[in-house]
Amino acid sequence: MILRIYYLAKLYLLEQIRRQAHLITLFLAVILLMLPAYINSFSLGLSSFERVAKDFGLTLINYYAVALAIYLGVTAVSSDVERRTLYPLLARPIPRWAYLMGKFVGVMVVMLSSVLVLSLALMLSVAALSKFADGQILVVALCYGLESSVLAAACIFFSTFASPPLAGVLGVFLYFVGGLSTSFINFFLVEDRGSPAAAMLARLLKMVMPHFDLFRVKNAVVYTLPLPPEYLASIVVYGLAWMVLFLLLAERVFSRKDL
Amino acid sequence: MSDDLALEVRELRKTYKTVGGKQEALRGLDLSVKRGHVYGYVGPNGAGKSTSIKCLLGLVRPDSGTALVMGYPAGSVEARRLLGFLPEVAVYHEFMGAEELLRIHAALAGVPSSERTARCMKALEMVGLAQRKKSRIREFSKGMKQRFGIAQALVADPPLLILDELTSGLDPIAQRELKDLILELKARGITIFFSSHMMSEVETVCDSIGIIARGRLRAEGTLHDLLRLENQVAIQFRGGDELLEKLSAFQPRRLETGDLVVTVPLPETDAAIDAVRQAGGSVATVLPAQRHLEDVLHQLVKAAEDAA
Repeated sequence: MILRIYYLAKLYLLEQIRRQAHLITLFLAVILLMLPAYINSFSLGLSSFERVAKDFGLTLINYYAVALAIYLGVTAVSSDVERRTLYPLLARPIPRWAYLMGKFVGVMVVMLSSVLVLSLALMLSVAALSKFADGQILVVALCYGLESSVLAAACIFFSTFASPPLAGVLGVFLYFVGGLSTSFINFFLVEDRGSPAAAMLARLLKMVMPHFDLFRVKNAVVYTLPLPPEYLASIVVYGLAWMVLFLLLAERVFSRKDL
Repeated sequence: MSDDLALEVRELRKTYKTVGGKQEALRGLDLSVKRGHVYGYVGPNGAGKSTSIKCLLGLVRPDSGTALVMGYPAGSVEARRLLGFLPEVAVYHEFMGAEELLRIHAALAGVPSSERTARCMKALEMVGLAQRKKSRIREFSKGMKQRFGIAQALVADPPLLILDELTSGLDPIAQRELKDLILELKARGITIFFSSHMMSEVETVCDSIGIIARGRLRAEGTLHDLLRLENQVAIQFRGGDELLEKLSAFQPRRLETGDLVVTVPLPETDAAIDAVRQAGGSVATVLPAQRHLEDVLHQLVKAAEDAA
């Protein structure tokens, strides 16, 4: 069955390559390669250029990974259903869970390879000016990759019962609410807006959603703070647990769905 | 399940929820397809053909009833291992080359990697696309895409093919080629279950036929059984147009061959032959009377609608 998942992922990957999705990644990579030099030209020799470049570059990588996760997650299964390319595939001796896994693996490969290319571009361009290759850029980018993988799994789940636009909206909502930090809720909703009810609702919703804020470790790179390995290990386990949960839910719905 | 059956469906029911309420697609469908047979599955649009095929493939879950494919529950991995499927609207990953995509289908069907190249070539040769193995699917004509669809259905060498609307939208030449292909596959002993709107196609290639209307099988049997008019004979004879008037009591009609024909109840055969001879006609054949499949279909569908 692993081989069949591999071939389904390969088919998905080939499809994305033919759709030229990788060209967007390459375009962003070029921007990231030029970004530090551009920022440096404004900083007039100030040492903070590196911090700004990392901050801006990693934010760009984060948003791109999130956009990819939502788009690829929502369309992975639904496009096969809409174009009816699903029928000859599911008429093969493949359980539906294996089909979903093949799609998910394909989405992961596209997303993680994009994040890797972009983070390498950022790392190289920062290193070219600061004469120091900061490997933590890769670590942070991979945390973003993990965050996006959880989001992609959620979007695949949403797409098993909702139309692509609705699944996309649910994905954005999940990412937004799940990404709210406790300090953000306390500051904006309680202290600034004086709305404890909204804060309570946000906290309740957040309880049943993945805490995406846990994956955002950008400050460690920007402000050269330590990133404890045990923390990284814990968010990997946390991310994997959410992915498994979303994929199990997706399988539960998809295996009962009339196609 | 009988060992000589490739497909066996009993009391299959499926109701879809719609915006306005419910729609019964299958209302207790029964059908049996013998191994090695070509089975034509005909019925009007909305009769339940596609739903029943989807049930056989496990794409749709029936509400009740049983369906066995080569002895295994329909939709199970074991059942799908033994069948090849051509969808009604055959859409493939058009950016891929024919052989490239076929190799992936072979892998998904569980064909060992050492056999994939040979199996793909064999399937492409059978459908006449071996010379175009490197061409992208998008470069194919509609007929070629349909033939590629049959190649992907055949690539794992399954004993059963399920073909949904095989010749839909194809020109007469492509239809003829696919019909010949079906006969070739039949000669190889492959069981073929195919749905079609083309009565002439069904009449020429099928061993048995099932007619579905309003979610139930209304008739099933060999072409001969379905077309035969019980206890009636067709007397074919030669003669001029004056016989049309002289034998008007028997309602004679002129065939494309130029002969005349009258259909009469079996007990009146001798009287009718005598009348033809007395009128100056020359009797050529006396055979059990038959109808056209299209007439049978029309009659059964109308009866099903009237009953509803």
